[in-house]
Amino acid sequence: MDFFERIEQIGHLRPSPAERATKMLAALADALAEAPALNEVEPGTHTELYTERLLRAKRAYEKGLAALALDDVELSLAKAESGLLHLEIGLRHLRTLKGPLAAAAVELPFFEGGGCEEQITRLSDAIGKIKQFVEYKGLVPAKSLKERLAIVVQSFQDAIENYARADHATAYDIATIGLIWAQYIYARLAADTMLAPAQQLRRLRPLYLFAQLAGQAGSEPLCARRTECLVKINNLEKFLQSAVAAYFDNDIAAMDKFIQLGEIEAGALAKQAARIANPLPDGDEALEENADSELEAALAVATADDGIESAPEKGTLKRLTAAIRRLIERHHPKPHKALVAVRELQSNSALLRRAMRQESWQEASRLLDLCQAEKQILLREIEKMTD
Amino acid sequence: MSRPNRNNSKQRELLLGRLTALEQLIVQIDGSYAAASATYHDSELAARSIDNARVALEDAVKSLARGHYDRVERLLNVTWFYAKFAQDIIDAEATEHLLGRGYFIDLIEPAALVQIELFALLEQTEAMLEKLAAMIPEPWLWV
Repeated sequence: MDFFERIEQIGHLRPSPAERATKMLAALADALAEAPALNEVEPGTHTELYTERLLRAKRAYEKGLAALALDDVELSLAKAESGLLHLEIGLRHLRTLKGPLAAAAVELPFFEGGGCEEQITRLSDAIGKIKQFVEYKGLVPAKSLKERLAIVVQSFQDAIENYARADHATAYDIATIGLIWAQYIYARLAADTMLAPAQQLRRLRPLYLFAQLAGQAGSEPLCARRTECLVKINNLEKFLQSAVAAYFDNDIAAMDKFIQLGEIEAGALAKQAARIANPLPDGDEALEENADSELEAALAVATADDGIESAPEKGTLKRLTAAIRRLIERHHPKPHKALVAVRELQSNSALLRRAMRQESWQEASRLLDLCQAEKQILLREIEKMTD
Repeated sequence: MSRPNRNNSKQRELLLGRLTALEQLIVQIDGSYAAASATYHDSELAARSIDNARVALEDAVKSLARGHYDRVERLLNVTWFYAKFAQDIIDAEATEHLLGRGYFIDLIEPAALVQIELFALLEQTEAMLEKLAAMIPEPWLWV
């Protein structure tokens, strides 16, 4: 046998892609023909799931045949493989009797300690614990706290999405941020610790401790009705936010500074809460108020350069469009078009204000028309939210 | 002829087992959710988590068909996260129901409420744009 005859012989041993596709589709057809009919299956098994998978296997077979007829061998092979897999899964469902299952009973995945999977699971458990506590105690959390909780839930989902994209580091960080805020929320609601700081990573302990302290300081129910307390609670949340941001910017000195300031504010809030719960005799109140105003002055100086942003002026187009954008980002199921429209609206409204200031009326009129058009697009996209 | 990769077969078998069990779990959780939503509370968060679990599971099936086992493992974990979360939410609300109270805390704002809020913001935006329109003089006055 010469060299070329040998090559030809080897070529015949390996089937061509088209031959492979044909063989696999034939195998799928045989498997479908042999698959038990619904009246032959054992009762008490997962027949609905089997039926669903059987249908998908049949659809894959038909698509595979159609693809092969059009010489799309790659698609044909993919459909054949997919069909066989659907059938395999369906048959497994038929071999399992229905019975109560709990998530923990489904072969609990093994997650390495310190990994992002463990962190995500801990966050899931933390949210579940908060929800259980609230429902059990019949609590009605304040609107701001519910918003914080919604952000924690969003963190959970963001962490999972990053994990699915194999970005484990980001998933871990997002889950950690969620856990710190969950610690704060639980402490606000229960005046108690959810996650023992001593059991956290050493470098994160100060944040968990501060979250607990800040939450407990604001946990007195009477505080929710007093403006001076609400201001302090707001400050505490800003300090916690800044401390967390500093940690993830690797600025431990700044993190420590925010925690220190937060601890002072938490102390003041705790004193205030105690005063509200147990009002002092008249003479002593003046002394306490002076001490508080000195403390406020000290905090004001300390926080002057901290760059804690204040929100844009209430009622402005900038504030309105920023609020619209935040809500769409968080809640719209298909936000793309709406986000494009709101970004255009933000940009054109800024240009409109400038044109008005410069008395460029023609330009202002043009930009106003654009803003109105974008507003209409937004309206349509928002209407789709509940379709 | 090369020997089949036994480790791959074993891994495939394990993944297939988990996938099947997770699919059955999702059906069960969905059943609990349906019963709860028909009886006492339709939790949007539980519904969303169940949907996310289903999507992740289907992605896992596609990846398994292509032999991308690392990705399958990750997606099955994602399925488990969402399924377990949905179950925890439903269990917490079952507690509230069993205690005889009817007030349920939605951990996310239901879409209908968010929509109302957005409409209100758009109305305010419209009002601001009308104010600005009123400040623009008639075209024949433009320089």
